[in-house]
Amino acid sequence: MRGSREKPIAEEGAEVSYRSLAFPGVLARMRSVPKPVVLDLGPALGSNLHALEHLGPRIYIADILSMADEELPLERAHAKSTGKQFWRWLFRNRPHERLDVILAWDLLNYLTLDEIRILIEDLQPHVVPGTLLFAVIAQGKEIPRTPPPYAIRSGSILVPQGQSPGQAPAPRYREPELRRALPGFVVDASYLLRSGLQEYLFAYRPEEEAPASEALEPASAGD
Amino acid sequence: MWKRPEDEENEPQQSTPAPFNAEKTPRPEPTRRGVATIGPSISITGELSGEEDLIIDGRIEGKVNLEKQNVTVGKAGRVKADIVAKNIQVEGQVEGNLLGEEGVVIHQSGKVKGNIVAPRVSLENGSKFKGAIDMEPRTSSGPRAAPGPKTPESEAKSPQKGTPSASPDAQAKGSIPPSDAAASGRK
Repeated sequence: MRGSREKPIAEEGAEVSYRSLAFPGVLARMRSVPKPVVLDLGPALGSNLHALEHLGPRIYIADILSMADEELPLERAHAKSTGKQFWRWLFRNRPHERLDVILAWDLLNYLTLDEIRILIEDLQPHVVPGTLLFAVIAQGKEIPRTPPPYAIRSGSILVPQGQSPGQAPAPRYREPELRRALPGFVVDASYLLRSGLQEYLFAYRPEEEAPASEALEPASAGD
Repeated sequence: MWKRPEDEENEPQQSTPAPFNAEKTPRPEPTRRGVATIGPSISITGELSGEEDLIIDGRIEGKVNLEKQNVTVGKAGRVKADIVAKNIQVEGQVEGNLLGEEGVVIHQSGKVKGNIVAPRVSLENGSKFKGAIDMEPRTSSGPRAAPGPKTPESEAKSPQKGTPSASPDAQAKGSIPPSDAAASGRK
């Protein structure tokens, strides 16, 4: 399940980029609809707007970890109600908005499985059959202490931005755990990269969801 | 939602609408004539309209409607209002929708919570934004409708929205160096 410790390809000096295998699926989905609707759970990056501009999308930028910092000063246990309030605000002009794509980048590594489940439950009104969720799950032992924003370069080239001040243990979520935390989503594609990153493209297809018993694999433990 | 710096909390607040102040700030003078500035000590509640470009370094709550003009929210500017203008630049903080006839730029120091509708949207690195950005393909230009509530009927999507997703076509879009993918990639 785990890749080797080979570093991602380096480009443009200090920038470290890698060729995503799952992200082209996101782009294909966006091309397949006249006005793609995208929810970016990460922070706003001008370069990403520029990269997706030609597809004429409507992009919702949630910046959820910033939301946690600024709007959830209490314990994360309060995330559910406050989170719902945030989503109501975000979609206030289009309460029936339906998402084509959710860009989670590597943010799921920074949430507990319960938090992931709550997040997806809160987004349920905006998820429809076919909604894609793009996620990068670290399978190595450590992740940057703060999540690096991901910049899109040249279609399938992704560049994690910035230098984190340190490392933190990676939760190393396994597929069954993620499927439990993402009710209604099935794995449309999954690629383990040599860098230790596992890219997932989940698709919301509740009718194909595996029975819960299949997803009851014990939680993974770090090495 | 944006955290206010502590020193702002201690600033004397003007509770009543203040008269419009056209005095210019020391910032680089705009090349265009007819630029009004709302200074840092000015607080306005209500709707602003006019035919001059506007620099906001004070506080505004309400609505800014300068469809044919340029609006800049300076670093000290705190706006809780929808802004309609030809071009909008944000260096300070805005909570409200931004409708830029030509474009919207959020600079590094800018924080915006709201929706943006403009043919061109630029977010500088370090800027903070939460909300929706409605973009058109680059080939399209011209004014667009302001963001607003929609009825469920108008929100009904085309049939293909509800269909299962297209499968990823990574291979079709370009070659993938085998070095990037371990053997377990699956579909």
